[in-house]
Amino acid sequence: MRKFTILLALMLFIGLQVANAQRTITGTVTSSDDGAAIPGATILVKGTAVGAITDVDGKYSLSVPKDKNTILVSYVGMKTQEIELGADNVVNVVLQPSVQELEGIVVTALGVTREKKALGYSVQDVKGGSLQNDGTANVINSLSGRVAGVQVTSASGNMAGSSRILIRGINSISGNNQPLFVIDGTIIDNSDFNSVNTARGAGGIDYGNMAQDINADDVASISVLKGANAAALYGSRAANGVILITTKKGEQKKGKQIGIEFNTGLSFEQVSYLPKYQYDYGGGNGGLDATWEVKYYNDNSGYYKVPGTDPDGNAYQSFDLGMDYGIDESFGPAYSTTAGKYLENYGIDLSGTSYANQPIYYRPYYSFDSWDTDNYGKSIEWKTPTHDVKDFFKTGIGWTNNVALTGGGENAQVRLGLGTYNSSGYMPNSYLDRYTVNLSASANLTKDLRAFADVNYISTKTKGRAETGYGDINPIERFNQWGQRQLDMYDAKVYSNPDGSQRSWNRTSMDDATPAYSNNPYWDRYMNYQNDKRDRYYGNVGVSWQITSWLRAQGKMNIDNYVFRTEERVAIGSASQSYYREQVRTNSELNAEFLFLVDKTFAKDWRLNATFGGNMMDRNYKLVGGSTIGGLLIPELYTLSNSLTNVATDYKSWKRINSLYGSASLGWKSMLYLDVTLRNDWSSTLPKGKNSYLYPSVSLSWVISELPAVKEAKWLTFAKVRGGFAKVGNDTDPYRTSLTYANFLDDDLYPYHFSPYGLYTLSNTLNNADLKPEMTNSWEIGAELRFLDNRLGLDFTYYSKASLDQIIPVAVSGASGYSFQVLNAGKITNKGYEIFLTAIPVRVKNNFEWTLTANFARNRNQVVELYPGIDNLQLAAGPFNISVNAAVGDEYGQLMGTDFIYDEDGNKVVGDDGRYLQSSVKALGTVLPKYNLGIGNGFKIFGVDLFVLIDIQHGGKFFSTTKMWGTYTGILAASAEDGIRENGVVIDAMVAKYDDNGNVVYNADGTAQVTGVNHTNIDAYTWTTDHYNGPAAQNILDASYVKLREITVSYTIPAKLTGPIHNLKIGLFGRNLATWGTAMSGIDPEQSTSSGNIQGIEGAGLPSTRTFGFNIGFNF
Amino acid sequence: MKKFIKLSLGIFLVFFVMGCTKNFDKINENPNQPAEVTTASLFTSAQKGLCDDIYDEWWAGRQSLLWAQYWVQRNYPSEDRYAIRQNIDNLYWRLIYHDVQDLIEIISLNTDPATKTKAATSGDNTNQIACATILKVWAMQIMADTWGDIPYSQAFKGDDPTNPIPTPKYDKLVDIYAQFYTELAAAVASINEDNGGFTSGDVIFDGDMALWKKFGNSLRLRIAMRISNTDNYAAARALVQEVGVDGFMTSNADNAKFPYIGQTPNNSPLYDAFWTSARNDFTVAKPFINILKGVNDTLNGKINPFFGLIDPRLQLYTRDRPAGSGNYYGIPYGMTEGQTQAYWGKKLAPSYYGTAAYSKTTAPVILNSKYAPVYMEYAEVAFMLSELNNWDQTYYMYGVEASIDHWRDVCTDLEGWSADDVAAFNVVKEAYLAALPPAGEETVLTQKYLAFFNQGYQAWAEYRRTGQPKMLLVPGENTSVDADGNMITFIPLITISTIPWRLTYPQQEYTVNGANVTAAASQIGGDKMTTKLFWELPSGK
Repeated sequence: MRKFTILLALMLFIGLQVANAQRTITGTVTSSDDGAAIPGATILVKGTAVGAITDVDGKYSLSVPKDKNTILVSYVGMKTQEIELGADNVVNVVLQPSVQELEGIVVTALGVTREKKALGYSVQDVKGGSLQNDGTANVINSLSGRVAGVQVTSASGNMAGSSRILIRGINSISGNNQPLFVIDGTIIDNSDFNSVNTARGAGGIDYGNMAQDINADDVASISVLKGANAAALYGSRAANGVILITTKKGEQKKGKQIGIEFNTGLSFEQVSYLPKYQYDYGGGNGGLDATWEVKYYNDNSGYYKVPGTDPDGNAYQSFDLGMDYGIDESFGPAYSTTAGKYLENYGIDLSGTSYANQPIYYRPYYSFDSWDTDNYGKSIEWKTPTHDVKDFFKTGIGWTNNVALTGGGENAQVRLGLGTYNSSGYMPNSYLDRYTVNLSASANLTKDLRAFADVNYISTKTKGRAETGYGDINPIERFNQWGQRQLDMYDAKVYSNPDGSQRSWNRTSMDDATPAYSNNPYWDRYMNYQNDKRDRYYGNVGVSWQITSWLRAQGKMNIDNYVFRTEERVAIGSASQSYYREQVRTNSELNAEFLFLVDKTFAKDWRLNATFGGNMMDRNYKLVGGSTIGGLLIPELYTLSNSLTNVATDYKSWKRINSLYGSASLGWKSMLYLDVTLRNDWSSTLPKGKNSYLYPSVSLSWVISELPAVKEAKWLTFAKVRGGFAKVGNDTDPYRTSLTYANFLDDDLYPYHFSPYGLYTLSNTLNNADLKPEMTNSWEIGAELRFLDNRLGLDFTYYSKASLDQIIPVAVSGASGYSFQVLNAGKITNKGYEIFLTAIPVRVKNNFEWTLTANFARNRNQVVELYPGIDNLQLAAGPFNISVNAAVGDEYGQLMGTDFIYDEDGNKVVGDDGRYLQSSVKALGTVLPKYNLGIGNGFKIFGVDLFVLIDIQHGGKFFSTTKMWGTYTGILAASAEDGIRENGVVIDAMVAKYDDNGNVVYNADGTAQVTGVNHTNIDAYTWTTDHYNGPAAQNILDASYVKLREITVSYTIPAKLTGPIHNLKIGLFGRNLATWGTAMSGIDPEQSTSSGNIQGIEGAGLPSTRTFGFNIGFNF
Repeated sequence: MKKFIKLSLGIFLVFFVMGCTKNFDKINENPNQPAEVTTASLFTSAQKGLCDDIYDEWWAGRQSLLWAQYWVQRNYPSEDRYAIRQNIDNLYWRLIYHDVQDLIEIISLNTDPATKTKAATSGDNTNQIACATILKVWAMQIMADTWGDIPYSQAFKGDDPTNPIPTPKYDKLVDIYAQFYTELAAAVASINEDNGGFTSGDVIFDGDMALWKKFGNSLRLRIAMRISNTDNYAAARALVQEVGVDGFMTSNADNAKFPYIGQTPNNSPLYDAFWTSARNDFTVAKPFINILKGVNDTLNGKINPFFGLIDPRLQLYTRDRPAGSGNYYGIPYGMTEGQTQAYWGKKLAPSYYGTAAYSKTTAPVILNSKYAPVYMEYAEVAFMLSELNNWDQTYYMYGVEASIDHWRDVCTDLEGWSADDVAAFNVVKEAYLAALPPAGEETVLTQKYLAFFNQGYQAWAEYRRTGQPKMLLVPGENTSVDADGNMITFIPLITISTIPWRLTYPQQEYTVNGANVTAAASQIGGDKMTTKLFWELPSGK
């Protein structure tokens, strides 16, 4: 690669004139990264065109004119250094890697490296080093806040849950809108196997998305190609942008046989964000006057030694109290209730007894098991638990180790990277182990012929990924939505009895230990866990032939294969029926491509870069799975045959796209660049005659600062304007064009038969034999400006996109006989701008430097049309009271549910019963944010680098199922504030006016007429349960946040102190350290249970975490 | 080097050729699902699907069985108080229309000249069409009675090759009823018993077209009777005239029902609710149990028409507790969550289904894995004929006996009753029949209600037509007395003073079929539960 750079650099310097020499300085340029010499670095005398380039040993020699005494030293991926010349004629320079590269070379589509200034579209880079330091196991999450226009939403955590990345908003109504991931030219699969139920928060395991397999340590750099302009050459799948990852390559180390890099890191993960709970009332739903279950004894064994007569008229000596074990709510008695109050209510005479002012003692659920001699038969105090929800979680630990060997000679270079990542999650009984091997090699077979290969093997083994959402085995749901607040987590740790049965707090009654609704949270973690294993290899092999000095040909095979085996289980003795399910997914994608590349300079000022190529994409996917049906026969034997009946299911899909494409880029005087691309795809998924589609792009870049007149302006370092247009076609999923019948499926999507008859039914989705390809048209303009010797930089882009004829399974009226119809429908537009600002406000020689970067993006989305007669598309229905929609005229992702009724002054309106009135279903706000802003502050204080990243999201809405159920069931603080359980609630609203028939009187504009201020007191239980029964708008929250996303500190110990070890670098990092500005304390808007389009429904997802740790790296 | 040139040229050619897309059709052929299936398998799917959906935990257990006051929920009694779960009705609207779409597909495959020959391998084309039509009308009447105006003339046309309709308009209920009647008349008339019906896949009647004909006629009678308030029985009388009483179901042997296999995954839906999903929030309601027990509603001063008579079905519909004690309890209907909790928490009425006290074998028979939900049965026909003949005593007695026999036979089959058990039961039955008060509006319609147990939608509809049984609780009436002796009143969560007259339209229709549902809402006089359907009890009666 460096050789190529030299070549390029040489070309750039064609035409440079050597001025009269006054003084010759020499020296070596090395990298601070590894101490190695940098060949091809540019040394320029400031204010002149006089320059030199370092040789293969990093040495240079430069003649400096008499009146000049400042040189600029620059190299791709390194920070340009300005050096004042002293008396010494030997000037050795150590270049530092740059975090945000403004100048130089970027990798673009098809892996072609281009001068950034030649590009007519926006590309933004992140260098590998900065990702490696932040301690995230997931490369995708690292991009959060670093790139303008890129919005990352993730369920945090070590356990590789879903991350969703959105570049410039939503393009496709029904697709997943995820960018294409390309590693060293290999397209890798980023599927998300989460079910619709998982995505909409209705329960199910979050398996994350497949791009998480990438080992951050092997990443050299990431280019984000944001627009369709940038990506036209990758075809359809690049319409949402491309994340282009270049991995580290082997290189020849001067004077050494071998280079060894080593990097290790340890990270700790803690739950940082839990909802605000109430601490005053325990489980039950009888409210303040809740009655207790009573167990009478004829002897003195009961806790309360008060003799009397039971309701059946039998005499007793003592008794015990039992609570509402079977209710998974926290609307029980107050902890402050005294036994006296209760016992008297129950008609027990307390005169002369000692219980009057005592707290209540009751029989906890674990006091009924005779084997538990410590607790059997004992009552405990009714009080707030010592070990609350937060004590359920552990500190997750992640340990990363990477070793890389690099070496080679002039003709061949190899890098072998080995990485391990071992982590334990913060949920009990969970771990994720990942092992990666990366081998990249290239060799010149002859002078002109080069062979190369990149091979990656990744093995991931996971246990105990959590269920998310409203599911049966999700402890979070029991903590935040349906549960009892007096439970002590330490008591719950004993989750089973010696006979193997479950010990549930949610027993049916004092005499009946059967779980009513809920499992013990530890039972869910230790008995109902899942595990999975994924083996994946991806990479490419190819040959490259330099036919002439300007023409090169390349043939390449790219492969991405994985086998993903998942196992899910529910043990006998759980609240729901036991089962075992095993699924094996095999995915393989092959891309065979050829490419001709032209790079020719002619007529002095003209330069042509052109490509012509073809690609065949072939994707095969197969799912084979089985599930027990009707429960397990033998406890804890998890095989498919251990089943009353078992059912196998399978699914195959095959898709092929053939493509031919070409591009031409013409440059004039390093000032004007014109890019044109053209591509034609043939897709197997579209009907005959409509399966071929052609799409072009064109862009223009003008480096204004090359104009002689501008060149003289000292304050302006660099200026460029650019603009482009692109069109991208798209196909669809396989098998959407023909009508087929479906198996009759059960809830878990397993087919069954009604013996002896087969059961076939029409599919719920009506396919379409007349589909045509989708098209996205987009254009963008932008400018890149740098001032005052790069002290201030601004990159601005405005873009506008329209996606047409989208292939969507449109939700239609069930009365049509189908739930969905696949249609070419819709037009969706995205307009927005991105600002990328860099500044160096302070720089004190080499001792202190403050670099400020800001990424700002604002996107406006509009669903312009859907289909004749259809003005709303329901993307998903939440499990309760809410749906996510695309409605014509609105922004995508509109949450719809019932709203409050307002009067004409905008006050909320209640009925004469003091409860909120409820509108019909209407739009309650979109899930899309108004803007995203990432602010990075880099400080260099002597040798220490400090980086602080703040990530801001403003606007957008989400529906909080946690708020709804957590308030309903009395778990959250709001259900117990201000003494509402004792005193009730008077809603701050106006009272509706009624006509003689008892109907509310409405104005023409839909507002209600009112009679006055509401004074009706409603009891707390009515108020909290109305969070579910009343307007859905009560649970809509603003999705804004400000997050302290990242702090990293790193220091490279000076070489003279480290002996044979080079570049001993120590880093500390912290991620997601603080969150501010959320609408409801403890409920994180940044929750995602899928990478798909169903967003905006929060509920019982994994809690947010903070991560911190350190890493150490060095090489020999 | 020449080799390499050849190689790259070769690659180039491969790609060039690949521009051809000859095998694309094959690649895009769905290997997972068949493009053709037998109409028999569609028919089984539709029969099972309709039972799965209409007689399950959600659409029955948390809706119709509550509103007919057969059941209450012992925890979370929201639907009891008419706060419905929007997502459930969104779902079941789609499910039931889709079940019926399979029947439409059978009709279409048997009609289309291109497919009818192949379809005939599952049975005579015309008879298949007749069976599918009868079952279609059966299901769609439940839909229409639930909501009122619904899509019908434009429904099921999402896949119409010439004019697909994804957003069908709503028809007036009165027009839909006329259409039901016409379609059924044509279907019954077209039946040729000699040609046989479905050769396979007909779980209800195993292809016996004589039985399908009786079912079709009986369903016509149900439809004609449902509009009695508007035509003073004219249509029903004309039908009896036309068909003759022997043209309807004439005994329990003619009953249309769906026997589940009783093995996972083909269990009866309520079995799956209670035992598989462990959702046992339901128990029998006091108004229903009080009628069976022969006691009056003293809290509201209502007299039980069968006062003093213990119905033999009491022990079949629920179970005494403790077992063998002869004590049967229903939980008061329409209490709040806290009131319900206080009530059963103190064990005043421990008769609820499905806790450890009841095992799979001792639970009432409707929770049996093989329990066969009924589409329509002879007892209903007998009660209708009694009503038509001015509360005829003979048909009334036929009806009561048929219902009791039906449940006795279900128990005999599913619970393994011995001959002695049957004989003992028959003695009780005969005593009960002998003691029954004579036929009259209240006795006939109350008996019809008792026979409809588990057919919640029919019982709810009949209540809305007739106001019977009067023992059912109306909002504002007293349901129970709490521990301190205070009266507990049934106060719904919505503003309504009667049992709901209809269901509000599924919210999803407002997002996917907005214009049409809005038009329908205004056409019926507001999308409210208080809006009356045209055949419902006119005010003042």
